[in-house]
Amino acid sequence: MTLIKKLCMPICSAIGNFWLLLAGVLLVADLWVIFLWAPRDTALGDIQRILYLHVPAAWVSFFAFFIVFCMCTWYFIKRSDKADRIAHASAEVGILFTTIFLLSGIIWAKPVWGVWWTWDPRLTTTLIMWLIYSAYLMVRAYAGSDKRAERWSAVIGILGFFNIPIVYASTIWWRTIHPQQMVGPASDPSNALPDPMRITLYFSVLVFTVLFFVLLNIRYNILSAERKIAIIVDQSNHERV
Amino acid sequence: MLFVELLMLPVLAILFEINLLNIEFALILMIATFGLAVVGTLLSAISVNTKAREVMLPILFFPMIIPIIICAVASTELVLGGSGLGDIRGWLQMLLIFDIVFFVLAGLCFDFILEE
Repeated sequence: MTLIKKLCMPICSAIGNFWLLLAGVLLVADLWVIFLWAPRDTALGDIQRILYLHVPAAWVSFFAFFIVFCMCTWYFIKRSDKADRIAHASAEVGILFTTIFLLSGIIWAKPVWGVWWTWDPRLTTTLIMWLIYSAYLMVRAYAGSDKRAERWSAVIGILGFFNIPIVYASTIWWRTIHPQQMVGPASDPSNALPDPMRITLYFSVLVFTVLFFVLLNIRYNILSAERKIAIIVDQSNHERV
Repeated sequence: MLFVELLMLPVLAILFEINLLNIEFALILMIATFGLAVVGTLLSAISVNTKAREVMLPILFFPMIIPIIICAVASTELVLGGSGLGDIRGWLQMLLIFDIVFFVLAGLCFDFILEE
């Protein structure tokens, strides 16, 4: 019983902690800002509000995969188990947000472009990014031993990151029907968002980032707990033999 | 790989009636093949030892070589459209950058993959 308590402690403390509560409150506030406070777009109408979920999800997935890259490099240099677990957790959360990113794009595309999906460069490169990190998780699952899974997935995490600049730049390099960037370094000043919309977008990005760290933390604690359980089971098996 | 490509090229040139004997096309061919070979070698070293090896190689390989494929296809398209070396310089540079990045990374990672 004490053993179970000891193992569950990190998870419970992560779920019950301040940051989760903060993320919850911020999400509700974000919904209010998106749906009630932000002005209605004159050209697209209410469907434009998906932007406030779409862009933050995109930012968080890029950020998550950047963390995967950093942690994989750290693992490569230091062989730290901790770095591997952070990379694993970050890749999972990153895939979740990429899925939100793709799905919100699909929902937006139907009324605006008239199709759910088209093989536009931006859409295709994003799907490829999603596939790379799915492959990353598959390597982990199929590697056989834990040590192998760690080393091989680290290689995939490092190599795979070099596709992300292509996803980001795809709207600039190719003729695409996807809207151009309206904020950030690659944006065109004449195409800038009006202030209330920009504030809503920035707030949404902030909320999603907090949510990302909360999810990352929970996932990391679960992976650590799993690792501890595996070690304990291993030891007890040895004792029995 | 280069050998298979050299076998395929005359067939392609005859079937589509295109002129492939120019320096631009040779450059694209060399650089892109090099990149594909580097990435393919690295990833097959990973995938031969996994449980589902027939499935793992394409799943790992195809998303990873997309930058190379994109650059090679875009520059080939320009060459076939009659562009010279100056027009495809941007794509070739990107192709080279990816080659170098993948080559350096693969060199660093290879021992790391094979150690037990």
